[in-house]
Amino acid sequence: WLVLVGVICSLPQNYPLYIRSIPAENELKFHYTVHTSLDVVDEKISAMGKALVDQRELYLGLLYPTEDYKVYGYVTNSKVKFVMVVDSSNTALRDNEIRSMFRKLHNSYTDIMCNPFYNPGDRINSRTFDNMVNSMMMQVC
Amino acid sequence: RCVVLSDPLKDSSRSQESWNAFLTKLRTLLLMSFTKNLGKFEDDMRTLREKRTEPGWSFCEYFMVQEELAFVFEMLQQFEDALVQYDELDALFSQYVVNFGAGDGANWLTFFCQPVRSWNGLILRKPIDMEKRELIQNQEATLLDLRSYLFSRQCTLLIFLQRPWEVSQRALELLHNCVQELKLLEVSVPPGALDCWVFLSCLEVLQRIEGCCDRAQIDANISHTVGLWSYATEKLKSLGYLCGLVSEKGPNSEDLNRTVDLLAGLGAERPETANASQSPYKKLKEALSSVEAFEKHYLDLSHATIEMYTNIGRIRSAKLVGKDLAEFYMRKKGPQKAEVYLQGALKTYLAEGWALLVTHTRKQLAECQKHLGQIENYLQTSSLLAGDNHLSEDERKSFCQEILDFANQQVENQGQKVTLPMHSFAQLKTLHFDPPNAVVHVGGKLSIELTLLSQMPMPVQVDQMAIHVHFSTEKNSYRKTAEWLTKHKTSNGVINFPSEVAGFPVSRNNLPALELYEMYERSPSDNSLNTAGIICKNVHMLLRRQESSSSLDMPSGVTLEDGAHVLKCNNLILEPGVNKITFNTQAKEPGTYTLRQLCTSLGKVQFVLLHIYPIVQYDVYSQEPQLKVEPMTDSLLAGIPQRVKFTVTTGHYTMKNGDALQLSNADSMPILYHPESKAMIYSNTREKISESSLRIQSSEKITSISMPIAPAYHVIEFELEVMYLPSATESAVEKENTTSKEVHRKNKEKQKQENCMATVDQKVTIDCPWSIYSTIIALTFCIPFNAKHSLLSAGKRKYVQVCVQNLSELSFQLSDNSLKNTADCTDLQLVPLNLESQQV
Repeated sequence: WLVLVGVICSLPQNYPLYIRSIPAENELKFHYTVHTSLDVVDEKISAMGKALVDQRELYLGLLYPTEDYKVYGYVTNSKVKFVMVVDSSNTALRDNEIRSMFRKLHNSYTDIMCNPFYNPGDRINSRTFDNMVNSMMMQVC
Repeated sequence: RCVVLSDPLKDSSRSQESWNAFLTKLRTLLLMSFTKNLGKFEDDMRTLREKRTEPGWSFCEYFMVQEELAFVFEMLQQFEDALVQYDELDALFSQYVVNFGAGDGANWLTFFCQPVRSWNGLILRKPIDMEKRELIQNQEATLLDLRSYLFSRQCTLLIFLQRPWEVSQRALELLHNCVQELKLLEVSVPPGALDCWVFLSCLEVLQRIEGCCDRAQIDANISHTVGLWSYATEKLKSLGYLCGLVSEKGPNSEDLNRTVDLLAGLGAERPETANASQSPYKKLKEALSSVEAFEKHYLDLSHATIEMYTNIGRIRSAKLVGKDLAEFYMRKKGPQKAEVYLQGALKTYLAEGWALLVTHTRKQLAECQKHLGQIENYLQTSSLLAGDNHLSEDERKSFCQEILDFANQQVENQGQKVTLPMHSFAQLKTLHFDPPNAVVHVGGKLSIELTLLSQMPMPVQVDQMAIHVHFSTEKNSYRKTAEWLTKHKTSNGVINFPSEVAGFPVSRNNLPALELYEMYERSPSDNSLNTAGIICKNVHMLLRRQESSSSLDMPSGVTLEDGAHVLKCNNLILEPGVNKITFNTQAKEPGTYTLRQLCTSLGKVQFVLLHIYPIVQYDVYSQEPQLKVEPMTDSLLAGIPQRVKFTVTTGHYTMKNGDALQLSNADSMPILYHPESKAMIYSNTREKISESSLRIQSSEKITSISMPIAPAYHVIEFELEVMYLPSATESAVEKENTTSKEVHRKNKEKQKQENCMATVDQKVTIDCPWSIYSTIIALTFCIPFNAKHSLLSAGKRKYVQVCVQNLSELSFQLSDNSLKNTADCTDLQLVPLNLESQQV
């Protein structure tokens, strides 16, 4: 069971603030997948236009399918992108489960931003965030 | 059910009406009949479906039943409804497969778990693929057959519904799905078979879509089809690798066997596509037939895919396909072409700061550069990789070793050294001066301690480390005189350098901090505040275009400045991590020395830090020797011995044996001295070095004070007593001394002239051993007493009253006062009236 979670910062740089995968091998392939999926995310964002108020519109859904993985996307109001890569054989995962996972990610990310010692744009180095991601990924596997 | 047509052939309104009524009735009745029949059919179908949990139920039988319904809808041109039926079948089958995977399998599914023997790919040319349908009917269809047939029907309907783009999207889903389902059902598939199937299917779908749309539409909808192109390219690539078509030597016998097997599984070409010259079947067969053919097909596909991705703006995906191409070229020993793609991809990853991808691509690029013999680039990449934390220790060491091996090559024919930028090799962290204020006199010692953070994973033997220094002199600049430098240039001597974090995008950390200053504008008339604001002083730095800033990876040219001044440190070992290196120098010429470049040499390789920033300088000054004579008290009083301090600053002059100060004697100012007078010698920094006794020789005209031996830039101090004896004939001149001038200004009304002491300047000419000119020192002596006399009469008695006022701050005790008669008059008797014990 393979899951990868990525948090990518807003434009213009698009570098990853946080990437985590279980299991840890094949990490390189995940990185490539997440990086490439940014193309589709950008496409979707520009297609949606400026109005990103509704919660539902933050969830981008299945970005694109590959043979082995499904890639889901989510973008916040400040254009921070969350990407989740899930094994295709994990058919038990439903759409609203993915949504709730993204919502949890978003909440944790908001908590990190509230930390006065955190500079926006730094890599995320928080144990709380790690724990949250861990528990989320355990649920899936 | 009976309708009357009246006068059907006549053309009257009544016959029109009856026709209308007839048609309406017909329509209604038809609809009713269809609805009833279809309704019944649907009910039967549903009952059949409910029975699916019973043993003996066959999906294929049910399939046929639901398909009939679909046929009916299709016939009625209700394509949407027909599609729904097929979708339901699709979903039902998928659910069964999922349940099978979860352990809840149905018996009939086991048939579909047979090993795959034929992988012909989708055929979408005919509306109904009767061959496959028969297979299903006879319950002889495999999973691929079933899925193919199902999709072909859905495709036909979608095309009728004029939704071709949905076809491509569903096709991709279908292909992924099939691969997953076969995996889930643990169906054995020969290696490469599925790749063939997918490849053929992708191309078939694409050709089908192209068949029903025009060029303009296709170009406008690339984003829908690009996924299929990319998938096909991927599959072709893996087939090529599998069949040994992408190696230097070509396929071996094992590979050839595999190819034959794969082609066998394709079967013969289906008649529907046999006429097309570029059918997917033909393409695949051709591609797998020979190395050259494969290359042609693969390159065509790859380039087409990259172009498509680039056109729709999916640059990252394009770069990734480019990387696959680069890998292909590398396998075929064509590193030239591979390099272009790798560089492109690396640039994207660097710009977006994906460290792991940067590392991986750099590794591939390193191999490429090695094959191409691009020594400089290869070494540069190796040094970047050797310092990369994402690689394993061993890999980092191996890259480091590459650099060292090259560096240690015999330096034949004194070939050009390879110069590389230093940031990948080591980083300058701090710099420490000793003395801390970075000011030293000519001949003085200065040491610079560098803290260098080595990025290499193992200790590196360095031949030489050199700091290139730029020398400049500023003539007539007060800020560069010894006086100003030694007093004003204070620093703690430690300079920190900003660290460069690799992995983060270049632009982020290279931005200097905003330099903000407050700005106030006051009105000229009444100095009140008009405007207050903040301005940024380094706007030009911040708004610099990113392209003009040097890229961290590939500098255009790394050149060393030629300078006469170089500080060197030879034969060091740089350990991984923090290293402290000390450079020592002895200052020679006065001026300002700016540290410009840092160069580390290892054999044939040198790493250069092009520009040391922030600007680091040290100053060397030269000082003339000076003599200062100053009183030890606030003012010198005449008539009593006063202490005077002599301070000799030797400057650049060294006191030798026999050097002496020659003071010209003045009768009125003898110099008193004790035989045990001592001179103190201090260093430049006011540290007491030694004491030595003074030898003073006095002759009639000159007092000679022998100087102790002292090195340059030291201070010699000693004290002497002088006494000024005013002669009686000198008249006291009432002068204001300078201090009273300030008092004068403060209280203009109070003129306390009577409180100012008269002053006398006494000049002393001193000959110093370092100069041919004499120094003239003026000492100002103050006469402490002011004497007034008055003649008082009382009747015939005369009294002489002498009033002596002490203007100084010192208490004097007068004794033995007597008035002498200077004229030769013997009958005058002066009787003192004061008691002897009285004091003034």
